[in-house]
Amino acid sequence: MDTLTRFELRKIMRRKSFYAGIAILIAMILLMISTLVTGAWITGKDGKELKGIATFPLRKEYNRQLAGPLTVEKAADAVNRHYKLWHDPKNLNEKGEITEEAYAKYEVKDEQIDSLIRFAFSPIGEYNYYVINKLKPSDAQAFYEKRLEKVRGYLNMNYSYGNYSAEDMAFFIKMNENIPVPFQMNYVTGWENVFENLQYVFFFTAFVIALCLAPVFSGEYLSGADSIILSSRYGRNRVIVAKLKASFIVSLGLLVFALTTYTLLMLGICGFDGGNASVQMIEFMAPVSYTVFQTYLWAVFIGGLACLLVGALTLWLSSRMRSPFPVIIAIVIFLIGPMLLKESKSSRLFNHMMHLLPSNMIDSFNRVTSYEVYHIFGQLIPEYKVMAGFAIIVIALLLPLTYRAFNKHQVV
Amino acid sequence: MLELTLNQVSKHFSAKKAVNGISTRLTSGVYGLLGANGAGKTTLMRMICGILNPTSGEIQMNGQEISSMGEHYRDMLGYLPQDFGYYPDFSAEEFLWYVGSLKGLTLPAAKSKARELLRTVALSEVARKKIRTFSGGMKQRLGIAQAMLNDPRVLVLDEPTAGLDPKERVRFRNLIANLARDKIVILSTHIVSDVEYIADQILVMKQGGLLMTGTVEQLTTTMEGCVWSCHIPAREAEEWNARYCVSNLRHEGNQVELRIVSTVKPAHHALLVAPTLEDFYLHHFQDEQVAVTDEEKERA
Repeated sequence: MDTLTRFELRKIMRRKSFYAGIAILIAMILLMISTLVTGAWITGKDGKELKGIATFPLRKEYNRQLAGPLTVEKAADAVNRHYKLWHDPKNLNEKGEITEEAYAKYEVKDEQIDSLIRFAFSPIGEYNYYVINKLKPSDAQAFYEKRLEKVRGYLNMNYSYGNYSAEDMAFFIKMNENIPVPFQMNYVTGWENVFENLQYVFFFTAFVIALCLAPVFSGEYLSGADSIILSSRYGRNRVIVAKLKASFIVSLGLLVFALTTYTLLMLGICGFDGGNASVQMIEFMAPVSYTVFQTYLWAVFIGGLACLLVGALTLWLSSRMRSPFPVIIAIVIFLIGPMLLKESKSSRLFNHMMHLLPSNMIDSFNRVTSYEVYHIFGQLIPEYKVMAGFAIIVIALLLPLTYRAFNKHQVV
Repeated sequence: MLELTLNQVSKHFSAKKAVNGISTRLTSGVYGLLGANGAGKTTLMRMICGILNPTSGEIQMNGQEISSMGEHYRDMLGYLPQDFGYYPDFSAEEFLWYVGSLKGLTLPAAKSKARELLRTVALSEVARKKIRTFSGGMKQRLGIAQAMLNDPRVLVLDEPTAGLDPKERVRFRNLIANLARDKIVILSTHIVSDVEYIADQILVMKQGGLLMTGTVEQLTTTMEGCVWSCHIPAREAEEWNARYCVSNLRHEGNQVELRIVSTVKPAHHALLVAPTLEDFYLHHFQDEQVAVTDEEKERA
């Protein structure tokens, strides 16, 4: 690393805003993890409700028993077990419902597979808890067909903002057909919890990046150091590159810090298992053929690019504004504003445009597993890939503009 | 041989003409920019440093337009702005290393030069202290040090003595005198005596234009026959002060001695005295903001 970049790094990292940003990130990560952990529950072996950290080993124990390929035979066995349970009078109470003891002894162990079966066999747009009660083991043979049927139904529904075209439908059906079956099952609660709050981790990281980068150029204008920088030999070229490099390093560092802390803490508490499971274990309708870990990597990639885009935008604003304060205000409005806007009920195009804003892009897990496709130059490209390309292009456009703004700055 | 040429240089901010058609030729030596607040000194210095583009006119270094010289010109330049930001979380030596790197020095060279300059400006003892703990004078000395890091051939100092105590000002004047050989040093100050001591040539600016250029002697010569001394009763001092441009007033019992700048003899008993640069300044800027004299500065 060159000397100027090291100094620029030092300037960013010695500011109070940097330490405040780290503190904000740690506090929010701890808050998000503690909310999820304390909110977790499962029916314990004694039939009593178990809450908090204690739920994870038990759920892991049950889900591991079902780990492996989700074959139709495995689904049929689950339907069979469920059928027997519900047809044995000693498991039922006077209202005809399953007793707590029976639930704790048998049903809770199949919660994961049962919920997938319920999802597959429920009518389109619904989740019918009791649908499994009406199934025979032989029905489970149609598990994957039912899922595809549901996908078709979802694609054929009427949407006020515009229906899927035949081309779109064929695209998503093909994507779904390309997903290897049987799905891989495993205990995925840890990863599920990671995905639950991932967008907020990105949100706060983007905010902290903006907080740290806002003074990179505008701070020089505000303090008057711009006179010295711009009149020095490297003040109109190398130092700008050094500032951009240092900003990128800080942004990347904050991202790695936030994601590593959040992911490792969450998985450390809830369990690391399940990275190799199909993402459909978490999002049953997901049209992508990724494992949970591959989906995590995509989500991190998209969310990370959204944060870097916020960083690039912050730097551009910083190069054009005379104080860091309006830069931070502008970024906060830019981050929060689109979140307050509801999706359009009349225009899918508007929604697509809105999704490209960082505040929507950070909801990366939902974007990777969603049914949105963009038509670009006759090609159909899934939304999450468009997002990645869009972010890279905008960053690539903003950086030279930032360079130019500082290079041409006049000290008035 | 260095030659900095200003050719009809102007800078307009909307309707305001901050600098208006200045032409001059500067060679090696110390040039003092003298003028009231708002005369355009800082704007002119910024244009010379290339951080503000002129609205019209051109600035050339050895015949070449400075804007086209880019890095090569900036490499010749040392600049102390009037008010500029220090990085409060940096120590003095770190700040100088950083500016040294900006000026193209390698880190070892920047460290060595920083050590030498910190000694020169008497900040060696506090080299590792954070700048936030520094007094105004210490910051100003650090500013002077950073301007000289690259051994500049053109040194532009905007109010370099502001915040310095008398001892520091003397040290600064000596420093500049030693540095000035083979360099163009342009400095502005409100403290007339500083310019008087340091500058080989004085550029007098008024309302964006160049009023006069010359040595201290040449400028003060123009005031010969215009500076008077007379004694009057103390009770009349206020009236005289309002009527004439009084450059000095000294009480002597129930009398006061007045030093008056006037083209006409103010009283029959008034005696002509030798003019100073301060008299010159007051004569030309009496209708504008009065320059801060040494005494006033020290009182402040």
